[in-house]
Amino acid sequence: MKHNLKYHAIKVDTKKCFGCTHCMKSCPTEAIRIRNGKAVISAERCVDCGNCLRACPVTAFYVEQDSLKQIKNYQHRVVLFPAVMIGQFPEVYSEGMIYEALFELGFTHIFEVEQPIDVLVESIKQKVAEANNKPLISSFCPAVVRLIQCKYPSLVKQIISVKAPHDLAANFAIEKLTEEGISRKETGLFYVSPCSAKMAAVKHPLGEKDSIVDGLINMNELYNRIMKVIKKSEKKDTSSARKNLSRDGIIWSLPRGEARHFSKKSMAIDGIHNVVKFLERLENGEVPELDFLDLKSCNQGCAGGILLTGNRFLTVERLQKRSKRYPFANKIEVEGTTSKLLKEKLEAEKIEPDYVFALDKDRVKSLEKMQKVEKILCQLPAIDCGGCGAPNCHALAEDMVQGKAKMTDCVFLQKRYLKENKITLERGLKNLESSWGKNRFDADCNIKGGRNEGF
Amino acid sequence: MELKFDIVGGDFNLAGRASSKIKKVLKQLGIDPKIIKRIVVAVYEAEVNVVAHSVGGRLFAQINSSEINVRVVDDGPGITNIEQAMTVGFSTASKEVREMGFGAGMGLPNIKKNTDEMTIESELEKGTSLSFTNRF
Amino acid sequence: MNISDLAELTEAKIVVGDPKDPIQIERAFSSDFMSDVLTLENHMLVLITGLANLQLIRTVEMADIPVVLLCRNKKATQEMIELAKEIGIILLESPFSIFRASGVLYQNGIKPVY
Repeated sequence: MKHNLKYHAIKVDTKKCFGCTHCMKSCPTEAIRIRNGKAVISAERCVDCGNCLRACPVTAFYVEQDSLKQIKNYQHRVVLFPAVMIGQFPEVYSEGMIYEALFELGFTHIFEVEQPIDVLVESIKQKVAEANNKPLISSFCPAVVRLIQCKYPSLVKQIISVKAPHDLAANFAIEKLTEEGISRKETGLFYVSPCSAKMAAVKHPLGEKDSIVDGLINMNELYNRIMKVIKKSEKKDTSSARKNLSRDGIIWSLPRGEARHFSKKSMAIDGIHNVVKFLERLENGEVPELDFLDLKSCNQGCAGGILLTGNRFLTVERLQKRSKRYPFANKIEVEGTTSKLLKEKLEAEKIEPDYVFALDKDRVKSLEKMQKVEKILCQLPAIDCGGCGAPNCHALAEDMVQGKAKMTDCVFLQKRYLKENKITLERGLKNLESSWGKNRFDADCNIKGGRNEGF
Repeated sequence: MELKFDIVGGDFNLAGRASSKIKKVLKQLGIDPKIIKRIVVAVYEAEVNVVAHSVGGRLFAQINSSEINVRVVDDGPGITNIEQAMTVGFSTASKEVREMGFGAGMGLPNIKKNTDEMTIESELEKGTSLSFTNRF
Repeated sequence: MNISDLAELTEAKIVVGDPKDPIQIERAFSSDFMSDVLTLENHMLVLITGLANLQLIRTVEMADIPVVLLCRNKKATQEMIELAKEIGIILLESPFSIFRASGVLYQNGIKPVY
C-alpha cells in the first residue's frame, strides 16, 4: 500500500496544547495520540474533519493560512468564497455592504464559488442516470471523500467523479477575467476556506501538482477584517458581481442542499459521526434503493464549518432567507463560453482507496498481529480511558503490535504490575511521562481541563 | 485466526453480530471488497437461519491468509428434506418470522451462490451443520 | 534470580543499572531478530542477544523488557548507554556466546518463555 503524503491543513499549537483526552476521543479515525504531553495527529489517518479543533478546550488546533498582505503582490486581486460566508454576518449588514468591505480590503473582483452551480447539477444528474452502482456519493466534502478512502474503500467507486464548487470556482473566475481582458499572470486568486478539509483540498488537489489558487485565507480571519472596515450603508451597487448566483447555489453547502435535486431517491446526512454510522450500513447493503447521497462532515453542512464565526443554526436561517431573494439556477443564463469551458473542467480525478488501518502490508503478518491484538485485549482492562495516550484499549493493543506502544503504558496495568513486583515505580512514572510530559502531574493552575458544555 | 460466536435462537436483535465482526477483520486485512461482500452475505444468511429456525447454535470462522472456512452448527430441530430446503422460495418460517421480513426462502440458495464450496448435513431432533469456504 | 547473580553466572559487566536492583528475573529469550520479540508479559525477562545497536534499546523499550544481556563481547555504544539510562533498562555485557549464556542460565533455573 503506497501512502501518498497527504497534506493536512489542521495543526497543533504545541504552546497551547497541554495534553488531555478530548481531541483524541472525538477523532473518527483514531488518528490522534498523546506523546510527551502533546497531541500528535497521524498524517495517514487524518481526514481533516476538524472534530479535534471543536473538542479542544484551549483552542490548541489551528488551520494554516496565507497572509492577507500577499494580495498586494498582484495587480488584480480576486477573492473566491463560498456563499455560506455571507450567512455569518448579522442581517443589518447587507450583501452589498459586505462586498464593499471586501473591495475596501483591497480585492478587485469578488466571486462566490457556487455561481456556476447549474453546470454542476446537470453533470451530477447525468452521472446518476448513467450509473450502474448506486447510490452515487457527492464529492463535495473533502473530509467525507477522505473518510471513504480510508474507512470504506469498497465505496470509492461510488463517489461521483465530478469536481466540487471550490475546485471549479477558480476556473470560472479566470474565464470571467479573461473576458475583461485580464490575464492570469496579473491576477492573484484567493480562496476563502470554511474549514481545514477544503483548505487542504484546494492547496493540494487530488492528482494535481499545484494549487490553482495563489493563496488561502481562513474564513474567520476574513470575517474579522471585514467587520473592522464594514460600513452600515451601501454606496455602490455591487449586485452585478452576484448575477450568476442562484438559490440552489446559496444553499448547496447546507444539509440537503445537493440532495434536493434528487427529491425522493436521495438522502442527506450531516455530522461525521452520523456519516460513519450511515456508511457502515450502506456497506452492509442495509440501505434502501437510492440515487444520490449528500454527505457533509460538519453538523449543518458548511454552516458548521470550523472556520466560521457564530452559531451554525443562525447562519442556516440567514442563508435560507438570502436564497429566497435569488432565482433558481436553471433560470439563470450562464454565458455561452463559460459554460462550455467549465463542462470540460468538471471531470474529477479517480479516487483510490487508502488502506490505512491494516496492521501490516503482508497479509500473513497482518493476521498474526490481529491475533496478538486479541490476546493483548485479554490483559487490558477495557476501560477505554485514554490514560495511555491512545483513545481506547483496542487502539493501544494495535499500537503495541506495531511497536508504537507497550503494555506498561496502561495506567491500570501499571498498578497491577507494581503489586506483583514486575515493574518499579520509576518505570511506571517514566511511562506516564513519555505519554503526558515531564512534570505534567505537578500542580498547575493554568491547566484546568475541559467540560462537557452540553449541560 | 479463529473466531467463535454463540447464536441465540429467536433473537433477531443480535443477528448480524458474527457477520459484522468477520467483516471488520476482513476489511482490516485488506481483502477485495467484492469478496468480502460475498462472505458477509453468506455468514449473515447462515446466522439468520439459526436465529429464525433453530433453538440456537454456534458459528466458527477460521481465517488464514488465503481463505476463510465457516462452520455453523445448531441444536435442532433439524431439516426434514435438505434438497427441498435448497430450492429457491421454499421456507418453513413461522408467521412471526415472516412478519419481521425474514423467511423468503432465499437463505440457503443465497449461501450456495455466494460461497466457493458449501456442504450441509442435518439430523432431525439433533440439529444441522453447515460449512462453507471462500477463497481470497 | 537477581541482577548480580545473573552477572556473576555469565561473567558479565553491568554497564547500565544498579547491581542491587530488586528486580527478579524469571525467564529468558534469546534472539538477534527484533521482530520476534514478544509483546505480552515480558516484565521479568532477560533478552540475550548479540545485536549491539540503538534499535535494540528502542525495541526493548517497546517490548517492555527490563534487562538485556549483550553477548559475544559486544560493546554497547555511548548512545545506547545513554538511551538505556534514560529509559531505565538494565544493560549487561558478557564475553559468553549466546549458547553458553543461555545454557548457564537455564541450568540455574531460568525458564524459557516458550
